[in-house]
Amino acid sequence: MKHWKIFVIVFINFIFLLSPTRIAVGCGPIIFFEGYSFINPDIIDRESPYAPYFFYFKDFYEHFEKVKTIQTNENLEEWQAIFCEQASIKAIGDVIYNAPLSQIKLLKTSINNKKYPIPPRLKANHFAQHLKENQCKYTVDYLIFAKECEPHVTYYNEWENPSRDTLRMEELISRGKSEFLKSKSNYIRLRYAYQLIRLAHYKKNYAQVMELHDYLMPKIDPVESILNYWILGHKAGAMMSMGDNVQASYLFSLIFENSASKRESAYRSFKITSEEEWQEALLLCQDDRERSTFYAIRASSESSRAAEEMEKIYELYPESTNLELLLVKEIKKLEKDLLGVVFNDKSRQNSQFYGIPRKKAGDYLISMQKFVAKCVEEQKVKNTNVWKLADGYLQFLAGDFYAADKTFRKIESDIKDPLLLEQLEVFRLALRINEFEDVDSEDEKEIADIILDDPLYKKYKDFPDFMNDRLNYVYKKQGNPGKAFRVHHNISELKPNPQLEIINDLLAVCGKEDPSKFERALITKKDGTTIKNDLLDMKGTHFLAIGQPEAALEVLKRIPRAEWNNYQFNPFIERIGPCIECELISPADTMVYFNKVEIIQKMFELEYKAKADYDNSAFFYYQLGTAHYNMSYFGHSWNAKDFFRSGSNWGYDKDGIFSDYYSPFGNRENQDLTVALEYFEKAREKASSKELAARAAFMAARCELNSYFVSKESNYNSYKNNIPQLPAEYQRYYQLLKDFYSDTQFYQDIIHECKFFAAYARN
Amino acid sequence: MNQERSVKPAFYHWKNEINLSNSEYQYLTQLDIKKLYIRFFDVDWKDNRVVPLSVLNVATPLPDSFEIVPTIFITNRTLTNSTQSTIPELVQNIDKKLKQLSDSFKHQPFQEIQFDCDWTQQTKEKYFDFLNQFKKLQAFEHITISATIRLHQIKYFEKTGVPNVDRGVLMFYNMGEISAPETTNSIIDIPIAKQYLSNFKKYPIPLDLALPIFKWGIVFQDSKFIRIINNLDANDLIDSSRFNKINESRFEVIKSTYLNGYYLYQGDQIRLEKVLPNQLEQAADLLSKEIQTSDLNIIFYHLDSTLISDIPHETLEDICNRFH
Repeated sequence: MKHWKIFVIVFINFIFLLSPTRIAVGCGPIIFFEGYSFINPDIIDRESPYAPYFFYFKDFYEHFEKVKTIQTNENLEEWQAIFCEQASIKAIGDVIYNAPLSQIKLLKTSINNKKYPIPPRLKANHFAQHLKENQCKYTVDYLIFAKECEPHVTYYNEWENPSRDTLRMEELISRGKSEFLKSKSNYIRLRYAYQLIRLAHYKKNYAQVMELHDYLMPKIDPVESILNYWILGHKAGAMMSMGDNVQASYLFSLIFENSASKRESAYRSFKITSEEEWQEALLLCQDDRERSTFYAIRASSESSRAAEEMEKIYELYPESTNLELLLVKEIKKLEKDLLGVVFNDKSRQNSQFYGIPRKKAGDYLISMQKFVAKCVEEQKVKNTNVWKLADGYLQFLAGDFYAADKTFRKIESDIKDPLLLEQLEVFRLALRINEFEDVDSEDEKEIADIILDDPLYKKYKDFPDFMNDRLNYVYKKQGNPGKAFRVHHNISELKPNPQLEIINDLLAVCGKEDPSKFERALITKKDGTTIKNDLLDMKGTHFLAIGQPEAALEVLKRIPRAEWNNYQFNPFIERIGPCIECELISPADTMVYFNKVEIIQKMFELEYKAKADYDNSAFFYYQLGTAHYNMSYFGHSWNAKDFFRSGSNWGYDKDGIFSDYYSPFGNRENQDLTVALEYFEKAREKASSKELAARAAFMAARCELNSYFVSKESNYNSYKNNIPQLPAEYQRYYQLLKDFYSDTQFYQDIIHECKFFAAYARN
Repeated sequence: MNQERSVKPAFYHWKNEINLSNSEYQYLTQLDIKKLYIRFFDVDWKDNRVVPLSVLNVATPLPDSFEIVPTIFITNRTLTNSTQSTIPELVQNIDKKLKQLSDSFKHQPFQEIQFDCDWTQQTKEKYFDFLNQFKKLQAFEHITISATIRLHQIKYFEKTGVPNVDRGVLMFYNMGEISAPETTNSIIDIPIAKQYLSNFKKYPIPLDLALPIFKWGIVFQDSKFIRIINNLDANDLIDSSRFNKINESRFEVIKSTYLNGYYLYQGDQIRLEKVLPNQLEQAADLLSKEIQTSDLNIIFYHLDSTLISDIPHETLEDICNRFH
């Protein structure tokens, strides 16, 4: 029993995994690129903490907070290292970033005079305690100075005038200089230098930045610190502002290579504008490693064709981590171009809106393959296994699945790193899915196992799309349109415009004695029942809608009788005015509801009576006309022949099919009133009562009016109350009413009730 | 037009810094231009908030004789990311920034303020709401508020709506799909423009006219739009060791190289686009019959030494005369 329950839960989850998720949309769809990616940037992430920025420069602003965090962490870690890890990062952070100036000043008083305790807010702070115990006066003086500088060098609201108090900033520079000279700590001197140079930069006094740099830095013994690059950043910024692109860009390249927190800003500030500047800048580089960084920065641009720069980097400094970063970046582009392009159901929109695949993607892939093969063969790169993996994956992207499989098998024993091993397995899983052709029950078993049990399938978010798109393609090719439909859509998405070949294919699956686990998932609803009855209802309703009631009856009867009454209507109830969602029950009515089977049987009965009971045939024909009208788009029982009706579908259709974002086949509306009109005409012709004839003529006129509203020549807007000009060919029955039935009571009633008719009657 | 209309030439100044060259001053004098529409700042969506960008820096003040029309470009994504409830804040911020910048024009009180925005049907409501609220600010009560209008917004004005401003400026450029490789000239395309020349008589606010005199190169990589390089023409691509001329307006990069500050790769293609005098003449002849405004400003986009050196001032004079 327990096992059975587990199976049900797993199975229901499986169904859920198969069900496509709808994205929330407003008025219309926003077109995004839709493809797949299986390369995991993390395979190089651990080696280089800067990697994420390499990939996501374009998303810099989304990562702004992350950059700030890196900067803060770097700074705190350095403070902690300087103080021999005597305090936690949090304690240091509370003093440096969170404590207000007044508290730091009180801390200074406490250090200077043993009688004074540490201020209450910092009393329990180990860093503050350490500063007091060790009489770190210069450090606290520096912290006070830094706090005073802070308002002048931090973010301001761009809408306000950025009027900086330059006099006060100048005072701080002057005071800072003297504190710098007083300080005996080399490290604190470096911190003062940073504050002073930054103040001058924010003052936009670029010459002063250079002066301060040249004056202060020689007075500091070389010390390894993140501040060296922060200071360099201000110097480079000042140089750039003074027009020295070349020197500035060289400095930015050093920052790019060496400072995690300033890497992005260095990338954005790097600016070489001509071949001459590029050559000059390369001459400034001390070695090939520095030169290779220049090429890495240029290749970081979103529009780069990095193969060119990768060759250069390899030539200069093959063990550069940047080379691997660029490799992954380029593979991601090639994935967009080539991975699953044959079966990606969004290929067309990718091409239309994004120009993907790029026209020369194939040529670019070949050049990349050659380069990667060289790297694998020469083994000069930092991590050859990354390149071996890339080699196999590029073969996969090139469509050489046999070679890719062979490469993956070959390198399996070489790879020991768990993340690289995972990457290998991911590539192999993608390759396996890509290879599904002529899917049989064995394959379906394997597919179900992958979906349910493979942890990588669940971990890599593009696998479900990749699998569904592949299966959709294969099932279509092998003549299983129903299965193809189901891997992409919920069954409800078929209802706006049922497709018989899809329904029949799925009904065949429902009829199988021993469907595969995957097939069961395709036809099982979340409540554990199958979609068989929904399919039969859709099929029968569709036959009814296209005027084949006999076929409809046979199909609907296959639904268990107990379920016939799930939906009930009464299309035989007459409503003279427009009535789509109106309440049918009125005091005069004794409401009788019919299910779809009963409706068809009743219509057959009326048809028979109309022919058999000649004296009353007009009345029966009128009832048949009423039923057909009410089951059309324009009537209250529209849902006897349809599942979805949009109130705005009054034009822009193609052969009666309206576009519908949620339905792949659009929305079919039953707007053809030909049959209803024929019955009303028969009723009018055969009516012995002039009142009934007038009534039939009026209903026929309504059929004509609605037919005009949805015709190509009409610009009728259902949201406006304007009475449209009705062309003569759509006015035949209004004319008839006027000419022959104006003496009836019905005519007198209707002319008061129906504004449209009153208007036409006046003309 | 039965009665003679007044036609005044003007220029857009679309740079970050006001520092007019002698040739620019001379050109303005030759055309007797008294009015400059100066981009004061852009309003954009950045770091998840609305910010002013490219804020004007007045390096050299302009003579007091010029009438200055502060022009503010609001990106459509600003409005997409704004909500109805943040519009009042946007109005206040723009007002604040305008007042800060007006200090540089103390002797040139503003008579008009212009908003340029590529609004769409999705952002229309917010944009119109913004304009309505801005108009209500006391400081601008007696100032003309104008807004740029695109060609299709005139033809289909009943559907697209009309901003509640005192004047509109028809932007008679950027007509084609810039990112489509097959486009020949996205700046101006007279046959396309002709398709939209209707409803001018019915358009409910007076229209001024903005005409292009700019040029640029559009860079494509594998048929994909990469970037615009402003002020580019065939003279910049004359080096046959780097560029191969495909036809008069298309070139291919045959050796990766820098061009006007951008690095281009071998295989990239460049489409050159510019406005020819005869295109401006055709535009003038077409529009003079359509535009009904009696006091018409013709604003040329935009004031730049390189651009004006390509077009004799007499050409622009002739264009203006065609509207009399």
